[in-house]
Amino acid sequence: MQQLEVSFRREASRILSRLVSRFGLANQDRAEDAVQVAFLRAMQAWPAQGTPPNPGAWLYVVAQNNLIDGLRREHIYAPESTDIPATEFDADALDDAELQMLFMCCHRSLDDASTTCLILHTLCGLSVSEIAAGLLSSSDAISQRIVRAKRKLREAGASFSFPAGDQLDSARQLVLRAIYLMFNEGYLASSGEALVRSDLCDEAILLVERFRTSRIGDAPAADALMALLLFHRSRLPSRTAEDGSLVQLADQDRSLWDRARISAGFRYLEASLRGNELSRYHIEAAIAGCHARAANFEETDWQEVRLYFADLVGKYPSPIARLNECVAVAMAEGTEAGLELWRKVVEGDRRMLSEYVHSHTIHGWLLERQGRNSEAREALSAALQYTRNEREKRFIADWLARL
Amino acid sequence: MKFVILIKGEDKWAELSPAQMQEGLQKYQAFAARLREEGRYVDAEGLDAKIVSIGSDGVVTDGPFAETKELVGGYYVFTAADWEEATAIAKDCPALQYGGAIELRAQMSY
Repeated sequence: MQQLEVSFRREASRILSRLVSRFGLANQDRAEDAVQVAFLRAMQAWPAQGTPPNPGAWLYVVAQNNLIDGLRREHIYAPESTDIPATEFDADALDDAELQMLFMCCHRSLDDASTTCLILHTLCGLSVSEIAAGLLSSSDAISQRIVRAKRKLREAGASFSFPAGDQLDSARQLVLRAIYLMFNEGYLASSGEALVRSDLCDEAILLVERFRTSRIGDAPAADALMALLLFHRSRLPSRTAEDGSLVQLADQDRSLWDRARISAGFRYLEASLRGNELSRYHIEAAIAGCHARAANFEETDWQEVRLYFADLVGKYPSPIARLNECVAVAMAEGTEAGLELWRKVVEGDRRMLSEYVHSHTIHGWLLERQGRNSEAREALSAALQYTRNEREKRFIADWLARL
Repeated sequence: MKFVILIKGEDKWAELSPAQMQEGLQKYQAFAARLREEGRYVDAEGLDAKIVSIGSDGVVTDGPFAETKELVGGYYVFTAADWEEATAIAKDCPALQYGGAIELRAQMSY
């Protein structure tokens, strides 16, 4: 089979971005159809005529022609109109448009879930059903979400441009955050096909890489995010046992961790230290790096991990980071200190944490370490009430049975 | 003996992702490559949806606009020893995996 040098997924994203940037958000659906038609034409023409020397340019021209023909047919442009923004294929312009599309998907008017769907659909070239499988949702729900998100962008008057001046930094942060959330969706989705899960994670990593190497993505935080995602990704194969159940960090078979990704992670982490920015990704990557270096759970450099957690909750306070800090404190200073912190954290945010499953599992873990098994059982039973997915339920139930 | 595969209406394309489209392309390329390797390949082309009719009175009209499933979207011309062989080859045409239908025709024998 002839191996093509073109990737339809990459071209779909670049060509669509360019067409939408030229013809407007109002024509995004038409542009999507036009790209699809270009692929179809390629399928008809290339086997007969051979692959064109510049497949990307060929697809772009065909998609653009198709879009313009359609716009003329619908009388959006007059048949003889010369006022049509047709442009020649220009690889740099396509790359720029794609970046602008990424900023657009991270527009303030969109909620996180919509941003994730839109990125996966427009920039990662995933079909609605693939996104639904990755996000454990239905195709109908995803496709509605995408339709609504596009409408919101139009209503918000979002425009294709690079954020300028002091806007750039906050726009970059939105992009990194969106990719981070997208990765977490893939990483945490606890059922569905293992393959789909790692797919979402890999898409997120590719996206950071594309952003990082773009002319506007040069930021230490992007390197730090890359490091963080690579460290997490390296552990993915060990997070699931053969029977499909979850394996927590302490029990993971570390020989399954992907060493190549780990060393790449350390390279990015080092690169991220230029400048004086200390993003949350820097700190989280440093923590993940401690785990990646450790021979096993007990021998992890918990003193260091604990210090990083202190940084994290100091600079980027969140109850969830504080809960994880309890584990680090317990390992660094003893279980009692961890329990004490846990009580303090839960006291501080009882409303949210009383229904948060991992608050209870961490409590149970701490109690178990102190040999207080009956109390640990109570904590895990509470956890069981608040878990919504089957795999986590089974994990906690198995744990309860062992106690 | 020359045969032609007429590919009709493949409606499934709209829902496919770019990666799946590329997979489809590769299947078609493999199909064409096999025809070439076996020395059967004569011609192939994708056809535009535009149809112009010219009547016996010389009147030129656009259309008829057939249903998508009736529209011939492309063809492969190839050689085979007989109908049996040609049918076996046509069954391997990727169009069939994507909801398309095939009309197999042979050159007229005299």
